[in-house]
Amino acid sequence: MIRAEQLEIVLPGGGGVGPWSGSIGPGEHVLVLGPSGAGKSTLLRALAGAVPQHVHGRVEGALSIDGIDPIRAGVAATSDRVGFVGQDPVAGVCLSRVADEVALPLENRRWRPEDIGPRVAEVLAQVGAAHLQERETAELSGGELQRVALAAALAARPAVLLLDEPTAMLDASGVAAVRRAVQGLPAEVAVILVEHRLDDWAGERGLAGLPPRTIALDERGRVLEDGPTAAVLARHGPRLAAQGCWLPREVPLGPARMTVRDLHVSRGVRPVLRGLELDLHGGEMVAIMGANGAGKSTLLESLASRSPRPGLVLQNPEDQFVAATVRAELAEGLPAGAADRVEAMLARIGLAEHAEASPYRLSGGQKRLLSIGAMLLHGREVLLADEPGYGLDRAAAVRTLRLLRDAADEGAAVLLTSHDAQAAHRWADRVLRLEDGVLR
Amino acid sequence: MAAHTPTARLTLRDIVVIVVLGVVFGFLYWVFVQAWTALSILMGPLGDLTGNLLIGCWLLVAPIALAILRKPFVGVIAELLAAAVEVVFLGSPAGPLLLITGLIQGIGSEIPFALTRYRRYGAAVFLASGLCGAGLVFFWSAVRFGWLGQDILPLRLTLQLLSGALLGGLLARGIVRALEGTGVLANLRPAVAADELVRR
Amino acid sequence: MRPAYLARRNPTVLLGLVLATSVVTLFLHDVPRLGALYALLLLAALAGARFPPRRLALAQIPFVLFAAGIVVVNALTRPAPEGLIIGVALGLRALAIGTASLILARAAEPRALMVSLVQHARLSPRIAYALMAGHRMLEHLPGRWRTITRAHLVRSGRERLSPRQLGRCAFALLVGSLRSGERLAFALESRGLTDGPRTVWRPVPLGRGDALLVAVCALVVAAVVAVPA
Ligand SMILES: Nc1ncnc2c1ncn2[C@@H]1O[C@H](COP(=O)(O)OP(=O)(O)OP(=O)(O)O)[C@@H](O)[C@H]1O
Ligand SMILES: Nc1ncnc2c1ncn2[C@@H]1O[C@H](COP(=O)(O)OP(=O)(O)OP(=O)(O)O)[C@@H](O)[C@H]1O
Ligand SMILES: [Mg+2]
Ligand SMILES: [Mg+2]
Repeated sequence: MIRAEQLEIVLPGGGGVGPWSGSIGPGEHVLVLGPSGAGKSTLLRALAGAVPQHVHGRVEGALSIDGIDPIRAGVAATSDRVGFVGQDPVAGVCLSRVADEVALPLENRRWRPEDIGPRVAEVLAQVGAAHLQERETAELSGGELQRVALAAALAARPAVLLLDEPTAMLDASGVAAVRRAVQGLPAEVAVILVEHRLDDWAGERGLAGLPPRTIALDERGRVLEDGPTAAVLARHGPRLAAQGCWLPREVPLGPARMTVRDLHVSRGVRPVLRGLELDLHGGEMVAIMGANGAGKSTLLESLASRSPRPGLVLQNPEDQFVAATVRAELAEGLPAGAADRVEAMLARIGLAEHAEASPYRLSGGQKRLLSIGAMLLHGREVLLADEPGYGLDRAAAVRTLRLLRDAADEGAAVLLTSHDAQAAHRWADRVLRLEDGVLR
Repeated sequence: MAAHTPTARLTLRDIVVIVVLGVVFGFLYWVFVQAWTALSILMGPLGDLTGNLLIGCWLLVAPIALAILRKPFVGVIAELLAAAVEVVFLGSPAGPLLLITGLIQGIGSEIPFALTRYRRYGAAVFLASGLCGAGLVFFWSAVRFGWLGQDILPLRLTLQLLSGALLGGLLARGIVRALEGTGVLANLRPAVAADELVRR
Repeated sequence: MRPAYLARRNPTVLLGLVLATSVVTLFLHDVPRLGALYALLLLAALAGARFPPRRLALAQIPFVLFAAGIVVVNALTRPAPEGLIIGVALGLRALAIGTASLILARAAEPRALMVSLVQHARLSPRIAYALMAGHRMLEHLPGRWRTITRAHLVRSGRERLSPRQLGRCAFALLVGSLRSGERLAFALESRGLTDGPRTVWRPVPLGRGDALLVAVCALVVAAVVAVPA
């Protein structure tokens, strides 16, 4: 249906996408991924026939969609087979009345007038917008407008549907509605989707909720890979994430820093961890929750002895203090030339005024900040923190978690335990439960 | 590529751009009409002269559309569509007669651009466009509002020509240059020859 | 409730009639005829377009101010007695044209007018739908204008915007609108809009009622013109 041979679009200024060779068959759903400016929209516009009439540029190679060459035919002729929905619903809807907007493509394709009314009602119902039929488009919300735009794109039964960030302006229920409409399309309609909010799009089905095939672009618009979504994400996830793409939660963000397979730990005769598996990646923050006695601290202690040697913050920070003053505590174990970094960390954790105080004279929150600061100074690739927010007031807990979050954002793998579901979900990339000796 | 020779046929996008200009200027006139009313009251019995003083504002659309799209008849169509917007959507009290006014203004504004065969867009052409538009429509307005035989006819003509040159000519040019600076016109202008594009 | 008599007529016919009547007034220079025409148009507005009398009266105010200006200017700038008479005639002409336009604006719905112009006056569908899309854009402009001026106000930290700042706001509005125009053109074209043949889902009828209206209007206007003053 879509067939491309060395398809490449070159824009004024030297940007561009491709070359891409491949074909997309009837009913196939394809995701296009790439950092901002990679040329995803440009690719979709070219498929819709907008280059070069609407967007100046040069197209090389060959492209055909159901026998139409969009580059020669232009947007109007290509629209016989191709529907398009863009990210800005206000600019994508043209007329003042919803029904007229959806009828417009049918009139333009010379549908018989008596068939138009039923089709308008049918396609609006399909996108969950039947109730909007006689409304004025000026009075609709962004989400409602986007559904109308989708209905108009689907009205004339296109063979291919191009979706350029169709959910950019929508709330969660709007995203779900658009996704349901797309998944409920007739089986033979091919879909090409550019989407940033992959988690929202995938819904509770995770990776399985995404289109099964992905074309990944690098920051200059070259095709990194065109293949099964899971495989493409596994191979290029870290790179795409590093360039700023939003990826589904399941996709590793950076290189694996610590891999745990089939871990068994017993306390006395009681088996606590029974075949636990865990992958920690650079750049991510993983929170572990679980009932008292589930084995969280046991897990952290077990990991603390692995290599690369992780930094560890204990449930009770006092257990860790080794030096007489706050400053000395931070400098402990660092080379002599690290005084600047110590001063910077003092300022960052807000303890500059207490530099000469004994660590034990600090408040609970300050003690926690101090122990985390000391650990951060060692620049470990993996950081383990047991209940870092425990016993702190809200402000101190937030400061503590932010320090860890920053460390993750700078590339460390952070694992923490928590009983605070709200904080865990707010700060962590992944939240796992420790139950029956394994993580789920 | 037919990049530098103007093609007669307007694309849908050209038409939309012209309509957008008509809509935006129609709206802005409507916003600034308050100022106009204030001015006419200020001028007392000669308030009627403000029409001549501000005629240039109504001439802006044609030269701007011409300088953006650089195709024949764009100026005439732009004035006609701007008039249509005012008559149909904004309910202008001048009614459908405005369509005739628009036609005449458009023809006047377009003549100097047509004489350069749509190749030159310097200040002189804009100035001539404003003068021509204001001058041509003067005769029609004189019939419409019965100016012929009034003592102040020469004063009216002078004011109208001045306004045409300044507002309908030089202001139009300033707006076009400012638009060029923003980059919005990049895809509306004729393209650079495609084979000169190089991928980074 | 059934729409008013004129609202049920074909809007292209209304547009033509209003244009024709306006042009005819350009050839009339005497007070009685123009006065009669104005009175008839007011009657048509009340009965035919079901204008609420109060609204009609309020809508006359700007025309009356404009007409008053015309009367004064002509009285001052022309030889004595005729000047005033010509002024009154011209003022009545402005009132008549204004009222005719009011009738058109009230009776002809924009979409119906555009669709019927395509059907009955061979207007290009690309122009008609570009205008309809323009109408939708126009509905959004007041809101965008408020947003832009408010943002400028906040940044300037003053009570009111200077003319220079208002100019900047206007320019921002123009730039933003041109950008949406680009997307709009793409959207219209991706709905398959061309000048080729197309069907019309809810056509605007043109019928015997319209022919009757044209005949009646022609007779009335002819009578006004022909009857000696
Ligand atoms: N009309 C144009 N002329 C020249 N360059 C352009 C044009 N439109 C986009 N570009 C450039 O082409 C590149 C690709 O842009 P495009 O809009 O396709 O990116 P994208 O992948 O859709 O990004 P995003 O995720 O931010 O929407 C960018 O570098 C952009 O600056
Ligand atoms: N030194 C020990 N000897 C024997 N059993 C122990 C020892 N320390 C802990 N346990 C047991 O091992 C299990 C796991 O303890 P762990 O401290 O890891 O739990 P946790 O998940 O951290 O709980 P909490 O949420 O209360 O901190 C518990 O049943 C606990 O009683
Ligand atoms: Mg994009
Ligand atoms: Mg514990």
